[in-house]
Amino acid sequence: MTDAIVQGILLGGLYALFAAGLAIVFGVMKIVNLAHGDFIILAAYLTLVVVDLTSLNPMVTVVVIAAVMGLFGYALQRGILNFTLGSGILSPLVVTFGISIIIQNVLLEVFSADTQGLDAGALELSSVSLPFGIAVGWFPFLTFLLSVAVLGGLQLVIGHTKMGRSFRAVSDDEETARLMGVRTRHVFGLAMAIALLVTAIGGVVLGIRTQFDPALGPARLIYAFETVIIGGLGSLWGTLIGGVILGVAQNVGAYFSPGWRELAGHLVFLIVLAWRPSGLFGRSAE
Amino acid sequence: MPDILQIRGLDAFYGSFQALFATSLTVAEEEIVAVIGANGAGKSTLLRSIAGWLGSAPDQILFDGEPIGGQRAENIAMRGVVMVPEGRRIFPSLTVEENLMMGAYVRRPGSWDLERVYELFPVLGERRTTPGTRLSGGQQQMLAIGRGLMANPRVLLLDEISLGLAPIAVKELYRVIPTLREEGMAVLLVEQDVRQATATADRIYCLLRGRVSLEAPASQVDHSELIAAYFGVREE
Repeated sequence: MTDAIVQGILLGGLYALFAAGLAIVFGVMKIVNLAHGDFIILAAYLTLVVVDLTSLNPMVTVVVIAAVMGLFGYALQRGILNFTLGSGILSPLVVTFGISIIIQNVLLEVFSADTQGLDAGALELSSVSLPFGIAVGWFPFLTFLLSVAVLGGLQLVIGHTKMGRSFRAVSDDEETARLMGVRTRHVFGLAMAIALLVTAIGGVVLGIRTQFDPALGPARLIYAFETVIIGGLGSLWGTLIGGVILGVAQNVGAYFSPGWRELAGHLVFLIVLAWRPSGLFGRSAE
Repeated sequence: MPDILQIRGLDAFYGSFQALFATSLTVAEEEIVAVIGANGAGKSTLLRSIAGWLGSAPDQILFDGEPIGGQRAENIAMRGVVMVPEGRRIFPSLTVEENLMMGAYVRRPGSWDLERVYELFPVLGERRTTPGTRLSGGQQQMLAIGRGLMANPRVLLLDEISLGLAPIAVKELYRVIPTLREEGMAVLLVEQDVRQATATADRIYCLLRGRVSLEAPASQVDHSELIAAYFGVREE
């Protein structure tokens, strides 16, 4: 049981990485990005290609993958998604749903439906001893630390840079931000770039932790949604806690019965939604 | 002084509703111009059109002789035409200082910076780390004006800065406007309080149902003419 909880906490770091990108995109552009889960899987496949070409350890390629996904995000926002804004919530939903289907089918076409995996070598096998006699895998432990570092970095960027300030201002009031000379279409591009950069890190980690196939995206999207809603929008540390709660719920559920993994996660999500609709750490609706 | 802003035959629409009809108006450099008029006369519409929130034909609005009508709001701001919007529109997620720094987003050259804004409105400096919307109404309006000044505008558009504020707060705000002229700035302000407008401005325009009904130097406004222009009726 203790083990299930500890593993759940570590898994929560990964869920927070999935969720952070979704939260940024919703916060700044008010887009509910239905292709978010597929971007995670896309990043995993991208890593597969880069590892095949270079035989580097996948954790080393993460910098390249994050950069490529960031550029892709900027281009996607400027080239497609910006044109869906301003006419209600439906058009970005439909367009990102379409992108989701396209990504899944392209991956299926190129890589087939076979499951794939990324091999991080010894990193995956060794374990680290924590106090109270708990031993955890080095890799889950490392990814948790990585998640905390990425979220911390993100918090710094959003809280203390000119770009982060423009994200918050545009999120508050796009029209007024434009009066300050903020080119909102560019800011949206940057926000999508940052979001996909973080998402890509999650994708690489996912690819190493588990087997993946082209159809895995939508379920990751659900986890990301649940994490954001449990943690509440507007706080990245809330997102981390949200991820941890979801991870623990799933692992404790699985401890009792493997079939309970997903169900326990969904139940906790529903309870939070009913009890605190704005999330545990969210700003209440004004 | 040459005209820095010229509005020529401006028509403005909200959907199919026409709010301005062939409105013409000029602002010279270092001039303070007030636009007065009743509710719904088109005053705010005029400023929103100039600032790029509402569309217009290119040569209906000239800035420094160049057509800027219908350009995007961010490009107009970059040129130095900066609006302090009605209702203040402070960013709630940003502190007082961060709100001011948003004003300096485009980094136009000029003498306005945080230090000078805090000098002008000391209370903002004292509360620089407070979330912007926690300030009182009058202080929020100071913040909105300070944020506009941070852009080092050549023309400052002020939309109803006295709206909903106590007379003492209004007085405090209007105190600073003449000093802006000394900085070489032109000011176009919209105001419902006719007395305040005529006391502050060099020239006034009165709008009536989307048309200019009166234009006069502020010092020579005839009371009965103004009443007629404002309400559209003649005093018996």
